[in-house]
Amino acid sequence: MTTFKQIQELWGNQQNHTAGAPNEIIRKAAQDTKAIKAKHKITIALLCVTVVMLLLYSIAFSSGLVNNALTGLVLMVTSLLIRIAAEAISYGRFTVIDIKNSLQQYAQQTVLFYKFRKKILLLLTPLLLVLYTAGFLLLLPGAKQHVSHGFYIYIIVSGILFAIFICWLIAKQTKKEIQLLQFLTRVQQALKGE
Amino acid sequence: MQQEQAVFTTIYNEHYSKVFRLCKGYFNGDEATAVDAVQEVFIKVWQHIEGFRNESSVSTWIYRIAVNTCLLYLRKASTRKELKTAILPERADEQYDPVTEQRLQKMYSCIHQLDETGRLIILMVLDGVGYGEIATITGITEDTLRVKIYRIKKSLTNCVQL
Repeated sequence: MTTFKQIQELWGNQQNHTAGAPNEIIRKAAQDTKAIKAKHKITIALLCVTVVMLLLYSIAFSSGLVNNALTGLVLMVTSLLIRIAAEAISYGRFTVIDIKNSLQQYAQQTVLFYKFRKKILLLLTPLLLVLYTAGFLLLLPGAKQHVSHGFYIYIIVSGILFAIFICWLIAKQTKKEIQLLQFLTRVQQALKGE
Repeated sequence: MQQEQAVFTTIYNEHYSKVFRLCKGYFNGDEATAVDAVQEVFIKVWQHIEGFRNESSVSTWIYRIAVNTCLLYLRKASTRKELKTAILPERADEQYDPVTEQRLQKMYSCIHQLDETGRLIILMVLDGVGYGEIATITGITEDTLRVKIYRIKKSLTNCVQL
């Protein structure tokens, strides 16, 4: 092989791949859409349930709560509500990325989306995590008075394990999205001829 | 719905092969990954079929979706896992020729050494897509594209000769 024309001939002589049934694609598309919607709803629902639980807890024990515990509850609920809002905005921004755009426009839109995600993951999320943890710590003395010693220990241990798990999850997601952003930025520069 | 299904079936049957070749070339000749990526491309085509009616060129429309999907496909491993199924059949190997296959593998390997955009551009060139259409698909001006293609062709030819 010496010329591009010969490479092109070789390319053209490839065996054709047999296409499957188009109805299977339609069925899979419906499943896919359902799964994405369900996943998004579950995420929002879990966050909402946590907020409701915290609110119910604060209503149930409001008479016995000291100021610190109330502040703790407010911090926890607020940080969760902000996170829900950020997630909703993020989802909204993702849905406007148009796959039918040219590669350059698509890369540009995706870069903007992941820059926004980077801000959420690197700035907002750690801040909210700190606020949530602070709220949790402020709530502990109040909880100690209302629950048994064993359950109190359980709350502390599970709280620490949960925090470790969440930090690991955030770090993993952040790493993945930053790598994606770096890749897309490289693509964008290549398209501009930089 | 039935009308949309009919339109989709036509598009699918007419454009499957070229989308498959593009994906296979992009993924270094990996057929299994290409099959999964093609499936994702056509899922997106189906999901956007309503918007297609106003499109002037089906080919450009399909290529745009295919190029954008391939670009991020391997970067989104979770999506790939969800879509991994065997709904598309394996290739029939009746005309298998080891020499041609070896040359094809070399070609795929050389294509894979290009950067992602270069890879996508040259795959469309190899499939006979016109420069004007590639410019519309990628969003690069035709003049810049010509320079790029010249460089990519040179690089690819040198690599294949080695």
